[in-house]
Order: sequence, then structure tokens, then C-alpha cells
Amino acid sequence: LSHRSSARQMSSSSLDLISNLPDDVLHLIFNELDYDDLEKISSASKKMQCCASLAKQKITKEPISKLSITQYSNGDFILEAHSDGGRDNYFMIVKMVSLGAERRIRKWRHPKHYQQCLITRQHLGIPHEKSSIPSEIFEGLEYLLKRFSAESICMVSVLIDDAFETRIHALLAGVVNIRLNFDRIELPGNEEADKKNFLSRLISMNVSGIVIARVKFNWSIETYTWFLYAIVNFPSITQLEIDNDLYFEDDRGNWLEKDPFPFTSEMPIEYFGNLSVLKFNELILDINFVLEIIKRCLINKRECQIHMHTTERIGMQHLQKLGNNNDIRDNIEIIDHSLENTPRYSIRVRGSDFWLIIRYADSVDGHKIAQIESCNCDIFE
Amino acid sequence: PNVKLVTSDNEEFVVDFRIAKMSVTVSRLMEAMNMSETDDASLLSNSIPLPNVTKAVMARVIEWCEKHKNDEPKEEKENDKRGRTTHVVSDWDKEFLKNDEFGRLCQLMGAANYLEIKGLFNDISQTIANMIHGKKSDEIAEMFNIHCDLTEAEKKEIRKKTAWCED
Repeated sequence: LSHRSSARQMSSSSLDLISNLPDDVLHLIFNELDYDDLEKISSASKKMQCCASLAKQKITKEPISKLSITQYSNGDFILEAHSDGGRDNYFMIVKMVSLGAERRIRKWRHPKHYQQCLITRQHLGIPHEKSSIPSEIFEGLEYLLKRFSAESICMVSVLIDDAFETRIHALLAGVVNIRLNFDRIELPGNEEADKKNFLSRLISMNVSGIVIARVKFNWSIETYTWFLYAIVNFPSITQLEIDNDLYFEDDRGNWLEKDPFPFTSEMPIEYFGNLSVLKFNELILDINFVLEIIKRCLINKRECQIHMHTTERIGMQHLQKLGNNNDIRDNIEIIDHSLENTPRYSIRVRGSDFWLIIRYADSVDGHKIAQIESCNCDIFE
Repeated sequence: PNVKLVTSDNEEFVVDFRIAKMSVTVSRLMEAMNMSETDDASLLSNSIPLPNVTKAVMARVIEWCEKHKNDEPKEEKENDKRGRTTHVVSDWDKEFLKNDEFGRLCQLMGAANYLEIKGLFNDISQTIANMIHGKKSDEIAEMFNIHCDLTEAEKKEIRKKTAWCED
């Protein structure tokens, strides 16, 4: 057998042996590197750059919980990627100098800068005038989407204009299973057509979930009806959350409380019964519709989170009706944990660790909201 | 039963039939030459030419195959926290490969690739990937004597794109 030296020598000569390996062999080696390694090796030579570029498309992306784009009251935009555990955090700040065309861009990648950034932002609020997201932020987002597999992209306090929709549509073309969160966003107009235009483009973006919170435009019952009937054509969307302020400012600057409105239209249960997250704080849904969703969750042992107002509080008399169903009769066990005026039940599918918990909780605006959550674990363990 | 393998430098290796079958290439050649485990005459009268493998490399390949001849077929992969998928290299394999200089490692990988011995090939490619993993750009270039043919403008463009890469 061949002689072995005591330590690995890279090469006895100055030959560039790695570049002479067959391409298919190099690809297999590169597929076992991570994104950082591939970026570093890509500046070694044209061949390395080419192989690294191909491998970047194949390797498993690092999973992270979210990417976010936020505009602050001083006009600055910040793009962030938070890796779980804070091991790696990416920040890009686009400073809109004097709100003019001049911009200063800084990109950081370090947990230390994350802390500095947090301290700076504590003094900043929401911008009065929201402006278009600068193209540099989209370029940064494109990079981060190639590098990470994010569960969601959050847009906070930004203007959602045509340019945004076009850019985000293109960026998400090859991305699967991502949720879009919109928090305190603004549209260029407040007409019904502007809302429908935004919502229709949003649901056609091949996303897995949509979260809309505290948007400035008014969600009328017509908007809801249009939206909920449009969304059923997009079964890839399995998480739906609309969380609006139940307070509004009238023409005289008074803050008034808005009551949730009954949603009487019959929503297609085939679609809504398959959602894993269904949260509305502004609609009151018919109790029979909610019970039908519960029944489907129990039959399919499907994990779900449902938070919504119901026409009446779910009680034992409703849950006992579930037992009349042939598919689940004898298969479920209902445990009543209700306290005074506070219904609380757990339902177990016999022979499994599947549980459904039903309770009512006060929402921030003081309304009682049904909270139905399932889990695949022994809750009493 | 034994099978005769002949290397590019005309060295003959007589190996157990099971070891010969670990190579997909050798298996195909044996099939083409009607060599079967139950037909001793066919094995004795034929030898398998392997013009892409030298005697020294063949000896290393056989040493690896001897160790793994009784292994169950398996594909052990794991993902680290950053999503990097890696092939699991056993302690024996790490020890087996640790002293090979890079040139010999490349020759051994070339042989594993030609002979289609997946386990050996995966061990070596993972060993090379581990050599690269975590190194800086200039360390990688120096370690492998990579001749840089990028222009300054191209380097600048790459640095601009990967500005977040460096801590």
C-alpha cells in the first residue's frame, strides 16, 4: 500500500488539481458545502464561480423564521433576516438622506450590530408619510431569498404600490411555502378598486399564507365577501389572518369602537375547512360553520389554529352534536374544563395523541374570541 | 469465487467476487463477459481490464472495499443547523483517508467515480468538502493552488454581491 505522510499535504506540486476534477465530481463536492463556503470559493476562479453558482441553486437553504422590511419615521428602510437563535443576523439600512434621491446604504451581518440597531430604533416610530420601497432593499431581499428559506416576509409601515407588487411578484416566482405579512401598510389610494387590486394581486402570488394587520383602509363587509370568495380559488393559501384595529378615527378626530360584523354569507367549507390558520377579529362567523371546521379537523387529525368571533359561544350541547356524526361517533372523547361563564373543552381522538382545545379569550378590544387549536401530543403528559 | 482485475500498469489483483461486485462498472463488465459467480471457468478464464486505475490506487480501493464488503446498502445524510447536507463519514473511513495528500485523494476519487463505488466516492467528496468548509477565500485558493483567472473588475463585482458574506 502507498506510503502515508504524517499530515495531509494539499499537493506535492503546484498543480491546480481541484479545477481539473471533472465538472460532475466538482458539483457533487460543492453540493455538500453551505452558502457561505460557496460564496467564498466563488472568488477563487471562473470555474469555481460557475460551479458555486450552480450549487447555490441546489443546496438546502438555511431555514429562518422571517425576513422583514420596515420603514421608520426618519424615512429609513431596514431589511432584516433573523436566523433562529440569533447566530446570524443580516441588516441592510437604506438611509433616505433628506428624503431626497440621495441614499446611504449599509449592510451588516453580525449579532453585535443587531443590538446597536435595536437601540437606535427604539426612538423611532411609524412614518407619517410612507414612501416606495427603494430598489436596493429589493436587491437585498433577492439575495436573502436565495440564501435562506424563510417562513415569512413581513412588510411593516411601507407603501404598497405598483412597483412593490411587480418586484415582489418576480422575487417570489420560484419561492414556495412562504407567508406574506402586512402590518400597518398603506396603499396609494383608498378606493374600493385600490383595495381589490391589492388583494387580488396578493392572493395570486403563490404564497402559503396571508396575514394582514392594522391596515389603514377600511374593510367593509363587501370587501370581506369579495376577498373570501376570491381566495377559495387559491388552495395553496392555507393560512389566513386578518387582524384589524377595532377602533377608528372619525372626521372630528374622535376614536370610536367598531363592532365586529356578522358574516352571513355561506363560505365554501371545502376551502375553509382545510386551512391550518384561520384568524379574523372583525367577523362574526356562524357557529355551525365553525363546528363544521372542528369536525373536519377531528376527522383528518389536522393541525389548526382558529381564532374568531362566533354567533354564540360553543358549549357542550354543540360539541355533543359532533358525536352524532358517523365519521367520528365513538371516536372522540370530550372533556369539559369550563370555568364560570368561560367555556373550555378539550377533545381527544381516541387511539391517538390528537387533541383539539376550544376556549374563549378576551381580545385586546375586549371581545370574546373563540380560540380553537389542535396539537399532536399528549397534553396531559 | 475470485475475480481477476487488471490495472492500467498491468498489475493483476485477484479479489473476492463480492468485492468485485461492489463496483457497478466491474459488475457490468462481468455481465458483458458472461462471468457468473456459479461458473468458476468463466471467472478463471477472464480478467477485467481497468485502464483508468493504477496499481497504487487499486490497492487503496480494495482496502476500502474489504472493510465495507459486508455493509448494508445505506445513504446516511444529515443536515446541520445551517441547512448544510453532509454525508456521514465513519471513523474508520476518516482514518483511512486522513493522511492522503490531496493529489492522491483526487486519484482515489477519480477511481471511485470510474469504478462507480458510491460509498467510497461519497466519503472522499465529503472529506474534500470538509477541507473547504469554514475557510476564507484566500485560504481555499492557497490550499488547492487554484489559479485565479478572474479580472479585478470581476472580483470587485463578486465582492459587491457577497458583501454580507464576510464577518
